[in-house]
Amino acid sequence: MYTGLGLAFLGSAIAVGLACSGSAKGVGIVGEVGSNLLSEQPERFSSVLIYQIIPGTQGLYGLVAWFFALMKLGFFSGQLVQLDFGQGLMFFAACLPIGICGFISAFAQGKCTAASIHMIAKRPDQLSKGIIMAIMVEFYAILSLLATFLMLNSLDTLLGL
Amino acid sequence: MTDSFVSLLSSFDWNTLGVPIGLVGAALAVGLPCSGSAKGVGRVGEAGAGLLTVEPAKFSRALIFQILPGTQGLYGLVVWFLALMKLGFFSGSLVSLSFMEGLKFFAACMPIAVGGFIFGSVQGRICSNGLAIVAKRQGDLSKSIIMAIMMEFYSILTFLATFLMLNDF
Repeated sequence: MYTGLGLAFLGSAIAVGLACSGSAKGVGIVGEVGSNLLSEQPERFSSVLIYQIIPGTQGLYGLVAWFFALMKLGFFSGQLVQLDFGQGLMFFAACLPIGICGFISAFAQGKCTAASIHMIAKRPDQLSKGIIMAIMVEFYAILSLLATFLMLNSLDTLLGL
Repeated sequence: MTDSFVSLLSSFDWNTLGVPIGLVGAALAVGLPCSGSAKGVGRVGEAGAGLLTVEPAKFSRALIFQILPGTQGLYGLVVWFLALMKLGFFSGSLVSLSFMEGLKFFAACMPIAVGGFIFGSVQGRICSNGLAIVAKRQGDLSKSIIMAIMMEFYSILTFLATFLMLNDF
């Protein structure tokens, strides 16, 4: 009787776990490159920190999706919903986009941002251009969050929970 | 233990899985192309940062190349939207699909899911090399865009295949 609910929890766990892993990898890469820059130019710390935050957003998106999924499953209202296997699979599917894309896009964004740190080492005035190039990657994480959010949002009314 | 498992399997109504499997396909159709596009766009961003170090004035060209691998994610989003519409997500009640129809729906979503993921990152490689041309030869922007568009053709084909198959439902 709990197989559907288990699958739904697995989906929400994947959404937060994968997205956070990707963010951790991305933030870590930027940190590595940033510490190289700081050993030469310690006064650039604030720029490095701005760049390091950018790949960190995917983990937050994953957390939002996880929280939203748990809310829909009744985790915070004290009464779990009843799901059969198929309904659980639907919740699992709804959580997939931010899980997959959060992991991959955060890593790609981290590498892109790390390259931008090399750039500001030589040209500190180009900070904003590096941010713009990183935000282009962010767009795809936002799209997948949107997909996850819209699917989760209408699932409970559609399934009559 | 084995007997109860077998009886559970034989009593299981597989047709309840039709719409869920279709939804898994729709989720993959948006998640994978977005991942591929993110990889591609990120890679062009890396190359662009290198170019800007030497020539900051070429930012607009770097941005043009960065947009090119981004289309696959948008195709994925369109397919996802279409798939959800076909599943009845926006009309207030889900359609009913048998298990086999659900598998067909899943299969219909696969071309853009697989193709978008691969082509997004491959097009990112082409575009980052295109930036190398632009760095040396100012006038050859259009040539490298054409080479990237050659790649785009195949993602449009996968998009078309998915679109036509989904249209049947």
